[in-house]
Amino acid sequence: MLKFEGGFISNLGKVYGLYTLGFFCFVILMAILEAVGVENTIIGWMFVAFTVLIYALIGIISRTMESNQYYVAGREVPAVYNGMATAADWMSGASFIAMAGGIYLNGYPYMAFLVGWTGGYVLVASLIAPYLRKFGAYTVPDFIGSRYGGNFARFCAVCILVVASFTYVTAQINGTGTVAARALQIPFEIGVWIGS
Amino acid sequence: MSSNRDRHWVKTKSLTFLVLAIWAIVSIGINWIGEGLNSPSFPGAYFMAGMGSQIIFAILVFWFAFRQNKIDEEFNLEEK
Repeated sequence: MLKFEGGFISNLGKVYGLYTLGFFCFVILMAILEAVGVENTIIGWMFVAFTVLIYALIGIISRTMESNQYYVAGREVPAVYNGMATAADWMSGASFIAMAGGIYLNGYPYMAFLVGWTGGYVLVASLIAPYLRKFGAYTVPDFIGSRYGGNFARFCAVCILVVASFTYVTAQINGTGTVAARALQIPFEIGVWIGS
Repeated sequence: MSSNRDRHWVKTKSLTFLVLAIWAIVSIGINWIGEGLNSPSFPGAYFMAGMGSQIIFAILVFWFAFRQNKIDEEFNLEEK
């Protein structure tokens, strides 16, 4: 049995390694099941069930009531793991499904998304992230509001954020729904609910 | 202490402007002249939009973080 001494943060490497190992084992198990001749529908359900189970497990293990813990994990996560989380944000449903489809459908002009998407990370890294961290704020509107003073600046930041994340979440939920509908062989409308 | 902070900010600011300039060249400039990059044997515009600029951006982010760390350490303002 693995021992987890000290806090969660000092065991991050172990936890991540274990998680990756479990993921590989799961994929291999699925491959074996498929080779043995289990139906596609059952494998699809197992994929979804496994994902939901893992999310629930992580949520239960690392639940907290402090806002400092909730938003930024107490600002203790090492840079490499934070970078991995950011990379996972990049490689989400929107880039795998929506962008590939968009470029396939509309050709070269759609590659502007690709450039803007990745270029945005440069802007965030150089203009927002260092000051957000040094400022001790949790969200961008918080930071903008305190930095430039007054609620109007905060309101503008909220507006931009809502428009941007609404567009993004729409694409994301759409992608999740498509995946769930394909994997579970159910209509898209129900797949959206289950997926999200 | 104040002058220390001021000099730190001057260096930080120039680094930020440099990064922004590279960002503007790679994201806007290169695609502006996209047609000029194409040659019969190599689709330069397609490559730069699909892969080249992404690679440059990734290297740029790492390089920026590295440089900023160096600047912070030089003025004893790094995170402990």
